[in-house]
Amino acid sequence: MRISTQTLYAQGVTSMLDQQAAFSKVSEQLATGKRVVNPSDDPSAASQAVTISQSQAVNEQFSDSRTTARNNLSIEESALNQVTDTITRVQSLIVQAGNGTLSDSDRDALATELEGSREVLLGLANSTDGNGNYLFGGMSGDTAPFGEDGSYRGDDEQRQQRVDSSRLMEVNHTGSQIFGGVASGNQQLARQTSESESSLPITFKGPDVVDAAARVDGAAYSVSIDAAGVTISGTDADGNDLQVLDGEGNPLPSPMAFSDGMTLAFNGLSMTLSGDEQQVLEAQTSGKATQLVVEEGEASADLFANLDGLITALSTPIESEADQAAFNNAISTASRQFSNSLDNVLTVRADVGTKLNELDSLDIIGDDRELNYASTRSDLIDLDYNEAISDYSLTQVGLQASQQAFSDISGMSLFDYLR
Amino acid sequence: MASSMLSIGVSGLQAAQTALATNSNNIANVYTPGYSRETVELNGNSGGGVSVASISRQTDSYLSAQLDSAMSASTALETHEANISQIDNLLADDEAGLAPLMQEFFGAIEGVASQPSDPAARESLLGSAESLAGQLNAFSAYLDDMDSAVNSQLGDVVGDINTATSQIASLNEQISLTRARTGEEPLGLLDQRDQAVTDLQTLVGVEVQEQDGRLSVSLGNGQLLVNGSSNYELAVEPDPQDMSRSVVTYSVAPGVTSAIDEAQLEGGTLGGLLSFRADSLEPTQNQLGQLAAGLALTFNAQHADGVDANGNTGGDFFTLGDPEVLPASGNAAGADLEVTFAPATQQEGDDFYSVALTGDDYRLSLDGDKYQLENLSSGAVQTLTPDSEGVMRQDGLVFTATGMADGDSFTIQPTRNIADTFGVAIDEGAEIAAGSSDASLDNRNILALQSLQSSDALGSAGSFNDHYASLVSQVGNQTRQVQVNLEAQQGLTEQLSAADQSISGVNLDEEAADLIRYQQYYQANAQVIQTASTVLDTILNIR
Repeated sequence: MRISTQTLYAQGVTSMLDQQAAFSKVSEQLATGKRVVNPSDDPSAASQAVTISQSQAVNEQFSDSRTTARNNLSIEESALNQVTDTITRVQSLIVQAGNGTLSDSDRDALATELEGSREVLLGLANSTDGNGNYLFGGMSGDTAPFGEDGSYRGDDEQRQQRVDSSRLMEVNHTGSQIFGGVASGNQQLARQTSESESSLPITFKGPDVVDAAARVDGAAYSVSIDAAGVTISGTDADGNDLQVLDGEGNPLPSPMAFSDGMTLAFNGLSMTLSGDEQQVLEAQTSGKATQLVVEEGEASADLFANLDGLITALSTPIESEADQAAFNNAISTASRQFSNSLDNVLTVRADVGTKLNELDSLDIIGDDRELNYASTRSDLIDLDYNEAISDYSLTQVGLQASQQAFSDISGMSLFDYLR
Repeated sequence: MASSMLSIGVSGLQAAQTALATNSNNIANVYTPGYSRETVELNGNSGGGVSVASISRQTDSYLSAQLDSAMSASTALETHEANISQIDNLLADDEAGLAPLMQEFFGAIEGVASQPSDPAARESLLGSAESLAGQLNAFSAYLDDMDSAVNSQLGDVVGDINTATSQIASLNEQISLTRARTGEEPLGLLDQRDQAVTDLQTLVGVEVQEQDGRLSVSLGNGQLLVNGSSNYELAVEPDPQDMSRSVVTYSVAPGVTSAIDEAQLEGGTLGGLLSFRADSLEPTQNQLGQLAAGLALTFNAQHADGVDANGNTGGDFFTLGDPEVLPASGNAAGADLEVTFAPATQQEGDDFYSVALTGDDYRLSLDGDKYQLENLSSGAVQTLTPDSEGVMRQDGLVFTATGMADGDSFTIQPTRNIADTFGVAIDEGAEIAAGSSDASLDNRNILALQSLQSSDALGSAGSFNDHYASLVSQVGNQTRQVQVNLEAQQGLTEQLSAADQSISGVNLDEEAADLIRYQQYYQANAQVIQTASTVLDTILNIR
């Protein structure tokens, strides 16, 4: 084919331009370290990279969220740790108070120490995080959740954080859960409700569960001991009257005559009443009566109210057998109450610990994911340097060759020989 | 005999001169665009001697027509490529692109979810919302600028087209005149006219026909641009359906113009500009707007479910304008259409807000007593029935028509320029409705806002990020496709150009050889005259 001089030059120039473009593309790739610089370089890789970078960003968000969740839970854990210690201290004081040889002033000293424990617990219940938010007020972080009188003023909402794509984690516990709640499996307890000066010198023990299957959940019983004898009546959780049955399922005789060490067995529970029969009889005839309530642990779960009750009992001088009996009863009630409270706080702590462990596992999963994302993203858009460097040399040789060819061809002309 | 020898020598000398002149002309025009190599054809005279039969252009009209149309297609792709590459480059920026800013924004939401009472976290959310809005506005402004650039380029190109057609018409005239006057082929003029046609083809694809030595030029739809010695001018005018958009028109009667269907304007810079605008620019603008509108509407809906730090119900988080409504120029006076975005809703079974917006444009027209809504992208037409309050709803839009007469229509571009209007509505961190109550640590609503990131908030278009990824992939694919087509078309053009040049191009080596050949030819003929003269002298000296 005839080749026109213009074509000769045009072809030479085009080939150099093509080689230059290829060379500059590889140079750009090497300079940026990316294979895909513009979306058009590899549209599907570029759009996948956008998707992956979002996944990376979301993963990072969850990781940040876990950091604050861990922070919150750790602060709570440390506060609960001190709460546990303080409740344990209260429990050992209760054991001391149960020692029958204590004088009124000894008990006053114990009451004073309990006042101190109360202050500690109230302070812990009103702890704040580093930003001044109250830990145990639910979502109300800006007002102290417990008043001086120990009443709860926070809300019952637990705050959640998204710590993983499908995991909304509760990152706090409310004050009512911690200082006003009981764990499942809490103990039933009995409480003397009648004032000691109008009561009989009767001390109770128990109640203990003897037949869990026979128990009516949420039931409350009142035990009344007066001149007529011992009368038990009960209502279920909805306030309806319950038939009070003994261990064999027969209705209890009502009223029953009081005797020292008598066992009351009803609805799967058993408790004993003791007291000097002569003194009881005398008191009965003078019109005195003892009222007891037997109820589920959650019915008297308010830690601060219980503590206040205990302090009052310790500060009250013992002047009669009835006072002594009422004091003994108060101590055994408090012992049950604080055992329930301790179980409750330990359960909450276990929950916090489980969550902290879960956060650690999620961190490991998140880190793995991040590695995966980063490597996928890199596979998609990053440069394979070996390949690129080899391309770089190849295109360089190509460019040099086309320049050489151009200069050779343009240097050859018949006119050069016409001299 | 000597006298005939003399005249033969002279005829040879003349032929050699013509050949050398043609030869020189070829050399001189070696790089002249559109120049066709000329050759001298010699004819032996019956009475002896030689004469120049003709000087002819070496062309292959079939090949050059092929080359012209290949160049036309190639220019169109070049124009499209040059423009779409700008969007491609815009999306390439990893650091300043939209995706990282959306991610930062949702990261800041997480910050408020973790620390709802922390004013710094709230301020940082506002800050990142502002950057996101800024980036959306900037992106949109960039595309708007490209749109204006297309409009002004259309004017320039149409001006060039008119210049080329008037040139062809006047060359038609000059060529016939020269032919009639001299009876010879006006080679230079023919070259010029071919070049003018080539120039025109790079501006817009045209059909060329030759009749009686004159070229007639028409557009794909048969609209004549050049007929003999007259040409018909094109113009650029605002689209009667959308005054912000320029369209190419031609004059049907004095003072009356008609828009040319864009499908008929293929090839050349004009075809490239129009296909860039219709296939790449406007869809990108619409999709960006869909993202901005979806973000604002779903966010505002969820935000209104919350309570801010001052105890007030959440107000609008983002600001957003209304869809663009463009009345047709022939609408009855008083015809009005109001279009607003429908608020985001929670679909049955979803716990997040979503919108049903598409990235498409629509036309609402009144046909008899029926409102017809045409989706301009898919061509699907739906009949809308106003409810008791006169309101029609479709595809996430709310239409209220008043005073429309039969045949009236409105073009609706819900998302074309909406990203311009995207802004942050609240200016204080305390106004962020993070909770479901005003409790300081309540983060329930901000958690719901956070989960919008991974929800299909744009309905069938997926999540915000899915949508952005598909925008990136679409622009990338289109750019790639245009580049590949361009490469193929350029290869074809080069081949055709080489083939065309092999016939009509000048080769300097060949011309150098001819130069020697014709020089020797001239010298030989001069020798013949010398010899004839010697012979004649010999005879004359016989006394």
